[in-house]
Amino acid sequence: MQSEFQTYLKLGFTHISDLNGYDHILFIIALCAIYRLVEWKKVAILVTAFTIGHSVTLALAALNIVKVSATWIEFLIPVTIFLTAIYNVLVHKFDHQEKLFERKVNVNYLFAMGFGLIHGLGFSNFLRSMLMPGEESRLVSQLLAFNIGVELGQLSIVAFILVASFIAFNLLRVKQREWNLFISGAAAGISLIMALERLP
Amino acid sequence: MKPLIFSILTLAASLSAQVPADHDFHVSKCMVEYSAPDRALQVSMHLFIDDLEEALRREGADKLYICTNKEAPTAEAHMLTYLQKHFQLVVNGQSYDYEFIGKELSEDLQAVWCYLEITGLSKVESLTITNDILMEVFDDQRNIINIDGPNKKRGFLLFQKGQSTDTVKF
Repeated sequence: MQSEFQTYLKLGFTHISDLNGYDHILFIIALCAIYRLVEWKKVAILVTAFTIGHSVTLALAALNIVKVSATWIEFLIPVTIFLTAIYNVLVHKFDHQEKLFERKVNVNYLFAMGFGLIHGLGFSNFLRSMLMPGEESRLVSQLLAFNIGVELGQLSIVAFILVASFIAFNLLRVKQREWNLFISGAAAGISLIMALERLP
Repeated sequence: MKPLIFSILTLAASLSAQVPADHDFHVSKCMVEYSAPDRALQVSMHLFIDDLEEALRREGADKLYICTNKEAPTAEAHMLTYLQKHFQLVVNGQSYDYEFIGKELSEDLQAVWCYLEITGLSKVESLTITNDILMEVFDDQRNIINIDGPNKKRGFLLFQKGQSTDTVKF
């Protein structure tokens, strides 16, 4: 038998890294598209900002303090991905040198945290269905374990993307600008279709 | 902007058929409790009705309308047959048939609670649980089992495809 903590940690981890529900993965890919491996610290902060955002709404929704229609959340999640991808492309547009561009890091953190609020509401539908009846007192510890699992899942997705970009830049000699346009374009395309399919 | 528009168009064309329409997830949860005063092992199982009906449809039982006023008279029998096939309990090394006590619609109206019971168990030293419910329908199905056993031993089992049986000693 495993502990409650282990169980909910695993559920959080597999929920975010599940390829069948890849919208959260796609969001993280879009967030990371403008970074290189050497900037991993910035990305870690960025992902943590996202986690803070979704933890807040996940807790509020799981405790039944806020309630938002699942249809709207499912629609807004791809919208956040689309906006992140467009932002990535616009940042590049103002960069006339091929060198690293100056990034508005703070804007990006706000993006991540604000969009985290929306993703958190999406997680809450999942978590609510896993809570045991009469176990409401356990909610907080289950929530905590689930969130840590989500964070670990995110960090492994980030690690995967940054290593992939490292290979692209250093072995395949891809330019950072092209990498960003490719990844962000792909994320924009996929999320646009998702959003259209989920129109409330 | 050209590369972006190009990427969007290419991807829109190639992925439009593959993007999942909704973000559904497949989880069942189940509480297994040993009640010493009743000398009984009591099970409460939470199953999403749409998922369960899909599984039963594949077994040839269609239009059951579980937990509605149109519910088919055979619905509970089909549910029990399905449960017996995919959820098994072995107590102290011996296989037991459980009784179907009843069912109840969940508060959010999306799921059904099934209540099962094995009586006449004066002690439970080991419990082997097999639960591959819905795993033949959904590859990402997870079955959570919360055990509240004798000697205040509590814990969880988390099952998925290919890993759906485990033994607990008390």
